[in-house]
Amino acid sequence: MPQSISCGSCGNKIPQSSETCPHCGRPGIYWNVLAAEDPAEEAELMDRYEQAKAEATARGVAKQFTSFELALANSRAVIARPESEVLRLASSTRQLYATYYQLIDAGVRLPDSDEWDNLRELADVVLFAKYKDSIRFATLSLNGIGLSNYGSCSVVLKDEMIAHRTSVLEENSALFVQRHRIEISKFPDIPKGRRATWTDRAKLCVTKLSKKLTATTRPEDYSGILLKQGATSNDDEFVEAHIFGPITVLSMQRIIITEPDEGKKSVIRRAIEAKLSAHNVPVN
Amino acid sequence: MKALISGRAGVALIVDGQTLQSVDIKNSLRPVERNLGEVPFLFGDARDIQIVESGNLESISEQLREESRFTVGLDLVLIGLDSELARDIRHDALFELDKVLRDQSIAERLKNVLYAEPIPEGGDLRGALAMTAGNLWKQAHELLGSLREAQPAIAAVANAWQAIPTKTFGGSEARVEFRHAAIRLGLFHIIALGATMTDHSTRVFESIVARHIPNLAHWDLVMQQWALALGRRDTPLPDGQARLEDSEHEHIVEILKRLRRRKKAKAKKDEVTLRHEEHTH
Repeated sequence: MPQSISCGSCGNKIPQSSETCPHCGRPGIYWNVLAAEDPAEEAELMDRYEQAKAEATARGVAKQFTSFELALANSRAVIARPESEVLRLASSTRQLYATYYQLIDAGVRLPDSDEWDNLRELADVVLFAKYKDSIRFATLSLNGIGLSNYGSCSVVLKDEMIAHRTSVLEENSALFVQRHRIEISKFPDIPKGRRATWTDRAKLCVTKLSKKLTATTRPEDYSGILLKQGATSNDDEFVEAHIFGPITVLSMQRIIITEPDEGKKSVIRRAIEAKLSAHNVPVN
Repeated sequence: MKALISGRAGVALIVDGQTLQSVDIKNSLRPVERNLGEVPFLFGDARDIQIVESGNLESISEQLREESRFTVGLDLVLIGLDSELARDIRHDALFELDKVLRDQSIAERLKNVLYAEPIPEGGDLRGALAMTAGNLWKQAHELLGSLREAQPAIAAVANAWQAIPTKTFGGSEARVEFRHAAIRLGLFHIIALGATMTDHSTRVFESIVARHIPNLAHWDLVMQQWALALGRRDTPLPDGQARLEDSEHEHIVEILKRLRRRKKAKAKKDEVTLRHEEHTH
């Protein structure tokens, strides 16, 4: 990933983390997508894809491979959050809420001490370098349900609001970094072909998961193959989506609540439903 | 043990050497082992993260409970004030809020936030106050009533804060940090209350401030500039904001000046104590 790119309009250098060209001001620079669009990344992904396809054909599951890939093209980015966080998102266009929520936004600046160092080495530092603060994490899902270990509300995002600014990685980014022993440096050695643009997400997913297809795999099994919720979050298996920039209520397509309601929170849930209804976002 | 705590995410991440655990308000505060990759999923977009430098499982869990109660309380106030929501939802939110406000520490923290900015567009304070009338929900009614009364003072203090030059804080990041600390300490709250404050409550507040203020850089200059900005009576006010009475205004300015003097006196006393200790050793 280069530290800077040339502006497509004025031709001058845009340093990494700038979301607009500092010279001509043209917007729409998504560094995670640029990284996934790197020709070497795309070429390696295509190689891995072709190998996976050949292997599936040799095993007699070519039909399942094609069918699974087609289904994956309709996968959605889903964020699982608790109700209180969803209320914040659902009211994100309202000045009343934004005013007071902003007053308690402390931001996180970890103190300088050894005990915090392993947190500082979070994978996103390696993968996203200077733009890590702009990245929101989601998972790909075929049934609209995300990783419910992290919250009872699965927020399904609208493709048209995120497709241009989202890339996908074949697994959890921190585990990816640990597994491939990637070291923090200015130019980290990241294995190619493991990430893709939103458009190519089906290719990445089927490349990763085709080994799980058998002659008896049915379309209703696809969802569980793409996202496996383990007994604990350590056992979760999923494809991670990285969304550049903010998410508001207008980025949401629908919400699926995976836990029954309870006492005090019920009024908050009703408020969420009312707010989402005003934006035509259904809650199931 | 160290921890990151977010009431909005309802989670505390405990850092103990190389191991990570989390406790979740929805999961009976049972510790669960975590790995680094889970951190972004645990906190999501929550920005209310508190850093705990030293604690044990019990104290961290208790702080998480408090942060969570505070978050629910703030959500309930905002739902109660929200003119866009149906009356029955607002009504039920204020009913729940009344119960939350029985916890004095949560009530104080909510006031510290609500007194830091005037109610913006879309906030129906009058309607919410009417819903809690009749002494059925005393705590919620009192909170909303005093909040309504204090709106001109809250606006004056907030506007004066905006007028403090950023260089006074040492930069925009430092300004944000100072403001966050000042809100958490209740500084905006108490200064806005200054218009009607008794000598007793001023003294109580001064003692609180004297304990915490040494952690805030540029305190002296900020207080000076804040008082100066409040002193400029000709500053145009946003639409709909009422101007304070002169006497109320002077009272607030006087409080800021007293706080500044108090801090200076404390700094001087600390210096004398330090010199004395050095001399003794």
